[in-house]
Amino acid sequence: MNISIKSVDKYYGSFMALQGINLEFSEPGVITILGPNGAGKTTLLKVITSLSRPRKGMVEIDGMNVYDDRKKILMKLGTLVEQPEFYTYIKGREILSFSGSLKGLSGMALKDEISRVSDITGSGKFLDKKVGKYSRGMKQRLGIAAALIGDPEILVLDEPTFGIDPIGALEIRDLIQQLNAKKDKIIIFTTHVIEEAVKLSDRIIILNNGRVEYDASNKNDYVKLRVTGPIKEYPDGYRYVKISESEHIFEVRETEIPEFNRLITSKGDVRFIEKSSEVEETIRSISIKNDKNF
Amino acid sequence: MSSNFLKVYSHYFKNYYRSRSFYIILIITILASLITSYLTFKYSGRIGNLLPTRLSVLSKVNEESLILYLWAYIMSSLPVFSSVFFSSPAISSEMENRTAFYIFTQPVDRIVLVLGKYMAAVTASIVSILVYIFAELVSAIAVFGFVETDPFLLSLFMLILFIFAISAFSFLFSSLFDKNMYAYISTFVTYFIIFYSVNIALSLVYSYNAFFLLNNASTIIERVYININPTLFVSNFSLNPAGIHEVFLSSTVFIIYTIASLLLTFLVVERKEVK
Repeated sequence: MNISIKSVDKYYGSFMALQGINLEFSEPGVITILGPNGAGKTTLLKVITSLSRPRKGMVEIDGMNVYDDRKKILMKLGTLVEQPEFYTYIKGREILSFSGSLKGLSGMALKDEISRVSDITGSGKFLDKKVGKYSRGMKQRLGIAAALIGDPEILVLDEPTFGIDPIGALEIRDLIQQLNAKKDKIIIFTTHVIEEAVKLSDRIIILNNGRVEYDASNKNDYVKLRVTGPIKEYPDGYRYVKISESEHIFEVRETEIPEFNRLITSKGDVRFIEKSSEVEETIRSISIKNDKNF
Repeated sequence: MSSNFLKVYSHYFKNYYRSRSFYIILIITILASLITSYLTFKYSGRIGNLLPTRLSVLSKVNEESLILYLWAYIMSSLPVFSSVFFSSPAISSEMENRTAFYIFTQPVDRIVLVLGKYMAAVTASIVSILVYIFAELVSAIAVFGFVETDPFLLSLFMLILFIFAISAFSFLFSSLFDKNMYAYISTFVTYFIIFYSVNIALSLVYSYNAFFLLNNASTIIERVYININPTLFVSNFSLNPAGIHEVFLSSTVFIIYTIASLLLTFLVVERKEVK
């Protein structure tokens, strides 16, 4: 099992969605693509699953180009990209049966596999209803079940907990941990919830503005974004910490990882920073700004 | 490939025959069948007297051919509606409804997906029109006691070829757009406005029969009874059935539209990105 993303650039019109992405996934485990909305997470998954073609570069899975050998590649993949939608007049069971049969399952083996994936995703109770009657969360569970069918070597899950109630989200996180227990799959999933990433991942990749900002297999080894320069009082009366010539920290939030804060910059980027005296000072400066605002 | 084709075909056919569109087309077909049956029973034996003077020449045609011409004339427009319902949104709806994220990540060649869905749409169209064909057969046998098999079967064969052609043509438009509305409008405008305008203009100005246009070729469905092309402003028509060379010409047009449209659809879908 090897996924190789080589110098991938992807544009939507003039908008650069991905730039110079070079990544290699060969170790089984959970790889989380973390980043704010619009960072390029879903686009990266679309490129991996051959839904989108890069302008430059290529993606190879086990040495095969995903566009040239699409069918063979998709045989190895279980995917859930974007919030899943299915044909409204088809029953959930028929969707799973269709996906399973295309993966070469039939008869009792197919029946058993449908029952296995519906059990672990909790979709069994609504599989005999037409998809048109499903809620968002039910479709999400069905989508995950369809991705799991045939026990693929590689799972690509785009924000799998999106649209699911908190208990359901916990169940899906448990499911991902369960799937990762045997360490026989590459599970790539995207999220913008850092806590989810920390809990589940063996490797975290932070994407921002279409670039890999950070790639760490040690989950405690996050972005070391150093705050540069002293806190200054600016003519607008607020105090900011500048992190670059064109950017300053707009907001600092606590995260569930005790050692890290989440920073939202004036450009809308989300970054993570180790707690330090400088950050504490930043939090105070933001408080001053907020006090003046309200 | 063939086993995947059958899986795709049956998956899509299920979705078609359970859909609201299928029942709408069925209702349209039943209404058309009822109206034409009513006309057949009410006016059989009196059609010659009802014709206006300028069409009195038609009274020389035997009444069975005239009635079946009327049935076939209405029947030839039904595939246009069914293809708009089933085929126009075939690819665009995958994008608009976001089902493409599911279907295009299944381990099956996109050409098989297109072909399976296309055949499912064609089957749904044929099934929905069967009601009308059945009503035609029952009415003709009830009124005339028999149906001349050769022109009846030839008309049905031409109808099926036309369904293949118009469905493929609609699939092509569908593959070009990511919104159903654009696909619907393009199919309708091309068939009902562009084709008809070109046909009328060429026949009026140059007395040229634009046989290569799909709407013109589709008239063969009724012309196997009486060779009058209702889409042309030309005076030369025949009260006899269309000749074999005309049947061959229309069949060729249908086949070319089918193959060319499907090939272009395959090319577009193969390169299509899901955004």
